[in-house]
Amino acid sequence: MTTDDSAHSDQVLKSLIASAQGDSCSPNLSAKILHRVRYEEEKRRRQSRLLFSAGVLSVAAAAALSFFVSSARQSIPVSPERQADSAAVQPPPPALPQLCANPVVAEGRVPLFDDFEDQDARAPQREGRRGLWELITDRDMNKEGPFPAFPQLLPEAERTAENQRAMNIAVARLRDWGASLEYRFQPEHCYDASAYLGMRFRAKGGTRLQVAARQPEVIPVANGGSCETDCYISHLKLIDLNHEWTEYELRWEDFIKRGYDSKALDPSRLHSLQFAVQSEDTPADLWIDDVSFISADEE
Amino acid sequence: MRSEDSSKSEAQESTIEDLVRLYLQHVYRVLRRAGVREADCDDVTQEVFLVVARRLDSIEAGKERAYCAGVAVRKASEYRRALARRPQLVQTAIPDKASVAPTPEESAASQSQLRTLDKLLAQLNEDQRTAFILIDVEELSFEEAASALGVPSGTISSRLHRARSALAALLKTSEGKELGHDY
Repeated sequence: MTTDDSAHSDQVLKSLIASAQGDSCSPNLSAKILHRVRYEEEKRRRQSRLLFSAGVLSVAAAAALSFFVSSARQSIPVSPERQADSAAVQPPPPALPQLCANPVVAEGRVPLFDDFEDQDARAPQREGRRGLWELITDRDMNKEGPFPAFPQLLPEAERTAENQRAMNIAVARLRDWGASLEYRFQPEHCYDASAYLGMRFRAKGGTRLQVAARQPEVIPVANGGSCETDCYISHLKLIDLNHEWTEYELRWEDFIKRGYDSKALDPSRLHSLQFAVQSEDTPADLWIDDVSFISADEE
Repeated sequence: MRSEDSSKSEAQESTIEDLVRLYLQHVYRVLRRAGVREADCDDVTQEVFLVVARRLDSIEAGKERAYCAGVAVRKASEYRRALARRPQLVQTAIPDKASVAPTPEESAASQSQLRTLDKLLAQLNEDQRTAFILIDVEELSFEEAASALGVPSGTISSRLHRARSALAALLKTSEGKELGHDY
């Protein structure tokens, strides 16, 4: 690039920047925002008052119940079992988001999640796992995605009688948030995988892979989660994949959440698993196989 | 207790008013350049300030602009992901002002330049684009941008350097020349 070219580029860029600095929003947006902030603030205040009232009512009800039980004890002889029942009266548990109110519970007996030998996008339906592997990249923004992801034949030299296929993420240079292979355990419920200790899989690709165990709290409401703001900040682990097939083992405590909230992952409230490649690590061609939970027996 | 709560609430409201007054245009521009469509930008801007309002107590004095910028960057990223997962939004969205011929009332030259810049920025990766928007367009300091993105200022500096080089190269390539016809 000559000096003249360079100067011209600089000049053009400055002109573009100047026009961007002159861009502005509609004049009434400020009023709309403040109105919405006040509305949300009022909504929160009302909810707090409701919660407070509910708390007072619960305490009153518990006191009344306790009074009733102690009166009954004085007047009616009760067996030891009945006494145990009355002692078990507890205040109601805190309300859970609807998705996790009735989670599908894995018993911890079938750790193999998917060996990708069945050629379809659905993982074997074991222990209530009823999802579909899906692949989406930032290039799919204007297409009908996400797309079911199908296992691919391994390169011929790597195929054996027992292992013919694996999941392949092959993407060209991406420029936004990258590519994501995802599996949602259940369409309408959380998945309780706390019977297991974590997950393992084999992979190769010589690139950086982000593995996330996602709770509904990080998935936007529109995509089946309960997140309203600052979504997709998941519990995750970054792995620099080898070029050769390697087994990786991740315990639940290896999944770390960054950002405002660093609470540990709760494996009893899983929404989905994600294998993602960031745009800066593309182009990429990586393989994933034999995804499995880690059984508690292995401890 | 009640009066304390109400005075705190009034204090917060006036502060959020200050932040909206001072940084509304800044947040809006960050969102637009980071790929939020004009038809959606009012809504996403509102979401940014709802987050800011909720976290008002935790914003460090003197870092309000960086904080707003950081939330805007994350919201824009979240928006792009949601858009990718919901293609119907693309199909039903009101066409961008930038994507249709400008009306006589609009400043044709300015719209054309914005369109050109957005096309160029779309070819950078997210990190480089964000660094360029925050430093060169919004004129944040390196420290402010580093605080907004939660990375060291050296990282911002190298991302910005790569962004500027990439933009200069794009302007020189045939694609860049074609884009350049817009102005």
